[in-house]
Amino acid sequence: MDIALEKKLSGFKQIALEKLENILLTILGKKDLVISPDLIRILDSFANMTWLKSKGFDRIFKLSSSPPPKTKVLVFMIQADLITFKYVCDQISFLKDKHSSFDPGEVLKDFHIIVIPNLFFTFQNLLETEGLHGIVELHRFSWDFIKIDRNLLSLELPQVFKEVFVRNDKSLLSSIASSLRIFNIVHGRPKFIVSYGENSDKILSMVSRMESMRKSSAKEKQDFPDFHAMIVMDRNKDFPSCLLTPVTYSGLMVELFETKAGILSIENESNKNKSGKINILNVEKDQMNDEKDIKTLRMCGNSDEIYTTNKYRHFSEVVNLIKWESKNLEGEKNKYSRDMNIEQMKEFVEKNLPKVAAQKKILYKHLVICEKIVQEMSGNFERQQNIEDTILRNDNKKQILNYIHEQLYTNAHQYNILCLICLLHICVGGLSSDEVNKFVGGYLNTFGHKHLEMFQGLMKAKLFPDINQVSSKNLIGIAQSTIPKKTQFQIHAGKLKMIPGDEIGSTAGPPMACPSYVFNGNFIPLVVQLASALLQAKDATELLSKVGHLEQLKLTGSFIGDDLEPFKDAVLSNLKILPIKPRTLFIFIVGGVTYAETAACSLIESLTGSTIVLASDQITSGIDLMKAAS
Amino acid sequence: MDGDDYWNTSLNKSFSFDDDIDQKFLDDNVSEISNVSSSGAISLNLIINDSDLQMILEDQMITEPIFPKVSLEEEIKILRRKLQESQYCPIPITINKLLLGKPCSLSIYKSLNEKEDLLDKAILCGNGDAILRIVLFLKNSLKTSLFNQILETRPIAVDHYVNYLNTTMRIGEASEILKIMGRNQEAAMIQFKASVSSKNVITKLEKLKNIRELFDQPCCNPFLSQQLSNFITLLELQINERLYFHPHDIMEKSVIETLYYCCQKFQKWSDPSFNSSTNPFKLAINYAITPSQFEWVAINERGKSQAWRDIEGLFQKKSVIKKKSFTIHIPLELAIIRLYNLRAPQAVLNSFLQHVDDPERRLTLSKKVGAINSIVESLTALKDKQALEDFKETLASGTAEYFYTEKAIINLSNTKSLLGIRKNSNATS
Repeated sequence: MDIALEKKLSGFKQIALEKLENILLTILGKKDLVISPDLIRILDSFANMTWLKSKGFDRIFKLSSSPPPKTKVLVFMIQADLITFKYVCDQISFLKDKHSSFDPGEVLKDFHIIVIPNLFFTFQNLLETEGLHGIVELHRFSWDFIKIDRNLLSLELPQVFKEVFVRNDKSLLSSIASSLRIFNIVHGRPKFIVSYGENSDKILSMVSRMESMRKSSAKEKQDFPDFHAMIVMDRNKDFPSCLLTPVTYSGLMVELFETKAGILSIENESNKNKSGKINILNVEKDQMNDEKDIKTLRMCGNSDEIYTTNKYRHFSEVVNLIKWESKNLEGEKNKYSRDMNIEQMKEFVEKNLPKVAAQKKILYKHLVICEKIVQEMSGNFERQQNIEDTILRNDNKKQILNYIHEQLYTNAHQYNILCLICLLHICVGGLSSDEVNKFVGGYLNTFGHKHLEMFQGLMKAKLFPDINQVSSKNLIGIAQSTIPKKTQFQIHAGKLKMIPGDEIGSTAGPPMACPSYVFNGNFIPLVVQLASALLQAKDATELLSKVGHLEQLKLTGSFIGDDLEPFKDAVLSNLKILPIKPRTLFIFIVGGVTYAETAACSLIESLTGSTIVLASDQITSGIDLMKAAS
Repeated sequence: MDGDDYWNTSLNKSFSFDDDIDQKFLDDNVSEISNVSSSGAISLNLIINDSDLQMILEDQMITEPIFPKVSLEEEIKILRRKLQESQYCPIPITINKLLLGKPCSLSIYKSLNEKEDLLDKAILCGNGDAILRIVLFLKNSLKTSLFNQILETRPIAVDHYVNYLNTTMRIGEASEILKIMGRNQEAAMIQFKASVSSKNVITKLEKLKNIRELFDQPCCNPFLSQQLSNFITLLELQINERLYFHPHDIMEKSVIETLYYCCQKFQKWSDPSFNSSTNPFKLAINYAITPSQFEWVAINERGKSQAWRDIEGLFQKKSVIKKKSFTIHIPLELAIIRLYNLRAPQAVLNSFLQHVDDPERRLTLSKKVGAINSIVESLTALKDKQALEDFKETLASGTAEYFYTEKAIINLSNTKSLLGIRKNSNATS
């Protein structure tokens, strides 16, 4: 990717600052900021303290259960969540009453609430019913794209999957559309925009609507956009890419720890593996992570070469490379042993390498992360990989269900176990009501009956079969288990060549030559197959032979017109659009993108000599999807 | 709201510039880096031109852009248009305004047709905020039967409305609407969720009992209704027996956690039929806990309590012909490894290992858990004299294990020579 483009991708930060400044300019006087704890890290990624101070902020408070002291104008910054908004209204009412008894009239318009990313009607409505209209001024602000890494952008709106796919609430789609419109203003509207999924369709038509109402004046940009093609896809078109266990370093990091604005929390509280388990059934003692300064890792290559080199590698290589790295750092004279385990390495690095402090610090962080990954995941890694492969190939449903049952009582991880059963439902399907009931019953017994409602959420997101169905699907179930038949998913995945055949697995060659390496050779993410079909097609016939059968695929963009057209027809009537040149592609996934997808796209990027930038509302993992449903 | 504890602990702590001018927003290893990259930034006008930026800034405001300076005639034109719009505004323009989040009035749409059209256009546009706003407008401006009729054919509108009612804690209304729409399961689930969220356990129990009938309807899956009953009986057990479990607080714990504490308190492991409401065997039957899960919990609890005899007894089933038989539902290997992790004595490990039939597998497993007798027995079964000799060397001479191994070697040599003699005699005859 050329440097100018990379810098331009960081430019959203500057636009975000302009937008925020524009709001703050209307709020006169000295002010204090009260911010939702969830937003701090994101705000920090584009606005630092010095900047905030220069805009008149004095102190910053975390939004908490008791109202902050009111000495100046108070500016609240919260995410678009009605309950949080109500909470802030309550605090303001309290402060208003308290202060008006001393000095009436003084507090008017002394309160501001900035809602992120958009201010909805119900908020304005609530403000009125709370009697605060005219006392509180409302604002909306969206930071649009936060640049996470070289080729990765995120809107950092973690609620999108839950709202859009689980609760079927489409309010946030317009915010995504508005950010994509700004993307088009900055980078030019791509000539060739592929949409896959109903939410993606809606977003793209909203973008067109906004563009037709308010036209951009940058004519040249629109003629020569930075990205020639764009794909917008719904997360539910490819759930397996979230539910399968990735083997890449960055993928495993997010599998185990929480991440926000590209910053990984390496603390015990944010350990996803530990937090989902039932304590009484654990034998290992909880190791406290006592290293005070090992709390976060920025998942970005700018200052961390180890991360850049290793982020997309297979984890088994990474451990050795990091060992090698520490050997390099240490030099020859010290007594390095090839047979050291990670624990020893940790100690080694801590004691013997005082010189290269900064490098050491980062290296040490990576060792801690590697150690945690090995500790938490290695025990079962191989079996898990095998069972995932079995699920994808629909080889032996009984064996899979036995494994799931065994995991339920032995490992007892609240979310991991759900990932497996959902994967089974999506890839194999045909779970009989007995099988579903057995699982749900076991799950509720283990984790508590309060979770009953969660299955409704999973079902709504089409991740789980309909538990309400009284009719037994047993007959179909039996028919399927006796005659190994291809499931719908397998047919779909087969047409798109998402499950590599044995011939690929066995051919000698560089292990990273097939994007399926991100799932140990088991699976290629759908978005990667779409991207490579687009980038490699020489003509319409070739493109349509690969993806033409996807009925929900639609096409728009300046080559086609403002409306979304059925993909096949649009391609056939616009033959000149192929091959794609220049090979620049922007991908947006509605509902979260995984690091496995990012890694696989990066491979396609280098194989096809193209530029691919991925974006989404958040960086996600299977556990995150499961949590969203609960 | 989530994370109450976190919020409480951070009461009124602020980051103040007065204390430390360099104080960073977050811990330093984060902020350092985030500030670095801004130095390499390119100038804003290379990213976006002024008029586009101005447009974005105007769009961000929730009010109409400030009146631009125009000629008097222009101003009259604009004002005339505004006046017209306040009396009548075509639906597509309103939909666009809703999308941009600019002020507009819905009350100008009086006829039923317009109202329906407005809702349909918003659904078509896909803007959830507009859908909900219009639904709320219809709710206030139409009689209930008409309102319901409109919602009936538009499930997405129902979803937005129900979500809103749910968020604002109007559970009754939400559930009512779902029932009218024939979505009884969801109605039941909404009530369930609301009941579960009550903080007080007695209230929770009462509420759960009240929603039973919703789950008992013929259209509902009887399995769900069974689960609800299980939940209720579990809470009742926990409330009634709370003193029995002292000092553990088992209130609102899951069945498995409750089972664990029942195992801990249970005194009559030799008598599974012992009559008590907290008998773990009974609990397992009442809540349909699978045998394997029951065994796993029992092994873990009894293991942590060092009650190894109970564990052995659990799997030794006395059959009619007085011969003891060994039954286990969890994979033997898993059980052995877990026992080892629980620091079970060698004797216990050996007694489990002897049920691993394949000597190769038994050997590997015995080595893994360091069960000496089982290693020796496996090697004997494999007739590997050399390996036995080697193994003997690793043991301290004079110990019981050492003699045991030595004896095994002698026995193995004897049987071998015996076999040899028999072979020879066969050959001569």
